[in-house]
Amino acid sequence: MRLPLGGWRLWPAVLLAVLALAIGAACGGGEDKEPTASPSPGATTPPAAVEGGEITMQVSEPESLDPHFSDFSLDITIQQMTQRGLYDLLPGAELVPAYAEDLPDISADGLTYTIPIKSGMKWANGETLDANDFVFGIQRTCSRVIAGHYQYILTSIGGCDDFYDPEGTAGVDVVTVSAPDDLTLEITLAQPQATFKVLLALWPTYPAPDEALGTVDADWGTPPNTPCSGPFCVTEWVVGDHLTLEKNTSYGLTKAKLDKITLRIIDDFSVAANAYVAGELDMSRVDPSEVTVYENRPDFVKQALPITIGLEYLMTDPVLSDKNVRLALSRATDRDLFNQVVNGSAWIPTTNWVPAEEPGANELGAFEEIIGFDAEAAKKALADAGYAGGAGFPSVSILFTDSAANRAAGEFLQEQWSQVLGITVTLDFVDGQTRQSRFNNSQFQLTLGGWGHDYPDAENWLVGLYETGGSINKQQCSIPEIDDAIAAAKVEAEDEPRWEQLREAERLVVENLCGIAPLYHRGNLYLISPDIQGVEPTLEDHFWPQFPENWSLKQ
Amino acid sequence: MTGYVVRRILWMIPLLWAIATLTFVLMHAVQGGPFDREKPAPPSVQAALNTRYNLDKPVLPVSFDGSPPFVELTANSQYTFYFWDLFHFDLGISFQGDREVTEVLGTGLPVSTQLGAFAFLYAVGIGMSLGVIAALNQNRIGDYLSVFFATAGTAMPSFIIATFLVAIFSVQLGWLNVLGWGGPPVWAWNPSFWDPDNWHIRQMILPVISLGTLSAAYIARITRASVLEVLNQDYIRTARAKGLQEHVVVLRHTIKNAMVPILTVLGPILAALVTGSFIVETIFAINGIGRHFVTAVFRRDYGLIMGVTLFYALVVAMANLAVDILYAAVDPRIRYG
Repeated sequence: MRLPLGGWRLWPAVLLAVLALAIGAACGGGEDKEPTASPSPGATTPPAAVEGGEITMQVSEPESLDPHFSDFSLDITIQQMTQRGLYDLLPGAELVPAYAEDLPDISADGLTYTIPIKSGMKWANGETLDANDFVFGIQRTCSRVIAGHYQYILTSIGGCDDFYDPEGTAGVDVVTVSAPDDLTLEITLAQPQATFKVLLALWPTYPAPDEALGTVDADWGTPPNTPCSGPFCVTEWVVGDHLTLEKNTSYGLTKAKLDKITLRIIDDFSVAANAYVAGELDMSRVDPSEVTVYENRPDFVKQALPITIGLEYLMTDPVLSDKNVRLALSRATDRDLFNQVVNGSAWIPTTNWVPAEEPGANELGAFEEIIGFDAEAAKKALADAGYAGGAGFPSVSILFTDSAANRAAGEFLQEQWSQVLGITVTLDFVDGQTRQSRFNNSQFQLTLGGWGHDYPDAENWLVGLYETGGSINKQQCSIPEIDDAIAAAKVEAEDEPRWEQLREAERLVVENLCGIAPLYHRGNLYLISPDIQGVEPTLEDHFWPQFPENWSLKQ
Repeated sequence: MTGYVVRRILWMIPLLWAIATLTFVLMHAVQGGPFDREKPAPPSVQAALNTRYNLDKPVLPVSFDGSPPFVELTANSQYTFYFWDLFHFDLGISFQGDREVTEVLGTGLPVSTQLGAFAFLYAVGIGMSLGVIAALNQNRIGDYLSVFFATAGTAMPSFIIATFLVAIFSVQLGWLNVLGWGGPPVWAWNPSFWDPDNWHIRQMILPVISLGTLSAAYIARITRASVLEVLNQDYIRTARAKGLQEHVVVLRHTIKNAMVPILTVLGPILAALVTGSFIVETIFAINGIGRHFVTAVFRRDYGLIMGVTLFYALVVAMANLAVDILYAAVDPRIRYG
């Protein structure tokens, strides 16, 4: 039987033509969608902002829109776009009044905070936004029914823990937060906390509409009916697909310039970056493994954040309980090379646990000579532990969440330690939830992990993490001198002596490698269309930079 | 036949219960829960979350003890709560935004079904055509090209095909879209389904090709083998000897008789395609049920895992029943009691 299409001779020609087209398109310098020109060098006046317009940006799937429940960095970013609190937080713990009229008045004993609220403020649905709503919001965070992830940072507020206790029966009245009048918020602490003022800028203290919700335990609702106190409101959430944010015309602070922001849910950063290059997104995150692909583009933005990643040791492990072993592993790790090979030189190698820009931190490099890379010192430390040349070193495993970046990190450490120390470690790759569960239950020997701050102060990097029995001390670090330094910091009312104690605590943690050997500070990578202006990354950002009300399209 | 169909449908009830129970047990046996975060939470927060979502209750209604009576039963278990709700057609909530599982399925299923249906049509159209061409041109260029396609399609994973297509046709040439599915996320009985403005072909082409190529290759191989076997039958020689035109021999006698083995694979292929593909849905950021399912497993989103698993099981069972019915339609020798 004859083939259709004119016989067999035509088929090879057709096939060759298709292949040639494909190869030419793939290899040719096709219409690379380079962004349009940025403002010319030396220009001092930014292009005029255009009122209106809309953009599409990439996000991952949020878990919740309720600020009193959330803990995902993406959720917090969306809440910063759609809600606003008493204060905005800038780097260095600088507070700028938002719905508050002024900074808080703090009583002499440090227990009572009185905050004046701006008058004439409204929710997006037109209801009055006043001090009662901030009382309601704090009560929601402390509610055992809401079960807010970040309740623990408000533990200083009187009655907050009692109202939160799932076994308890205390009612909302035990929480010592009140509104003496509609424009005054009063918070009474059970014990003084020098950093409490900073917490007033965070999402657990955002307002909640007492009139709309009715009771503290009421559900936050689903779009378009979720409460909105920020420059944008969530008008639509199609799970797995997108969220739509529209300008809040009732917003009493700096009004947004854009009319609409579409948050496109794309979990894979590589897919998002491809979509950005193809012109389907205006803003996209970039996967760190692809930094070398995009870093030379003019629309590529690298943002430093207060996040530290390091090698975490289980201090109760028979092998790792020996400080010399921990020191050997730390000193055998070339952090510069690690950053170059594993991170594409995207991040900042470090031996500091607390990022140097945090209030109360030690200066960058303060511990380099003690725990930094030194092959000979590493070998000596291992020999002091009784494993000279790696002889007799027991099997040790490193626990990772399975990802391309973590596989590269594991292989790097495995190879480097083999070369420098002559030891062999096994790599244990599991899915994210399994890794988290094993870490939370201290079922590991070594793991790659770290911390990103909740608020800018060295306290957030140490309290609860490195005290004996600390609620999130999963590495089981226990050194009395660290406990003493942290305890001394807690009772200091003045910042400088408090920070001095925290620097000492950090020094003790790092020099003793008490559960952590810091490796690098990391941040976020973005592709941002040059047609957008006003996107200003700060150290207090989460998934995306704050203050979307300042974003606009260029004329 | 009616009695056979009714019996098969009734048997699905205990089947689905068994699958649900097995999934429930395995799901809770895996380490890690929905609130195990990279940033660990204090025990007080873990306790509050477990209480909020009833995760502090025993998983199963049965527990075993070393002392008499050795077995303890309780109605206050996660299993009891879940199956009581299921009995009332309530699939529970997803931990993503506390949304109803039915709502999540309601937005994801139409998308996956459309994508799967178009991929199925593509796979059947391309696969059967190539298979027939190959069989009719055995050991000639048509056969070689078809086998080449079948082999290449089987050897290349869908994520390789998808990545290749995106790199060329979206990023470099800009002809086709990267993101999303071009059809409305509604079922056919919704009026907006029939609005042409809600269909965007540029968004549909790459996902359909990526998803359907492997199945097309497989169908091509099965079709080729089946048609070759039929072509060697006496009744085909008789048909040609009678002077029938070749296209009549092929379309009326050959393909119809070659369909039984092809139908055998079409049922599972259809079920696999319409229930979504995590890889294709992730690469194209399509809001489909495949992506929801895999994400739910990684996040330990128990309600969504159970809901999607039950749906998958139901689809596979119904697809197999449909195939069995089609056997009888195609081959009059097959009859069910």
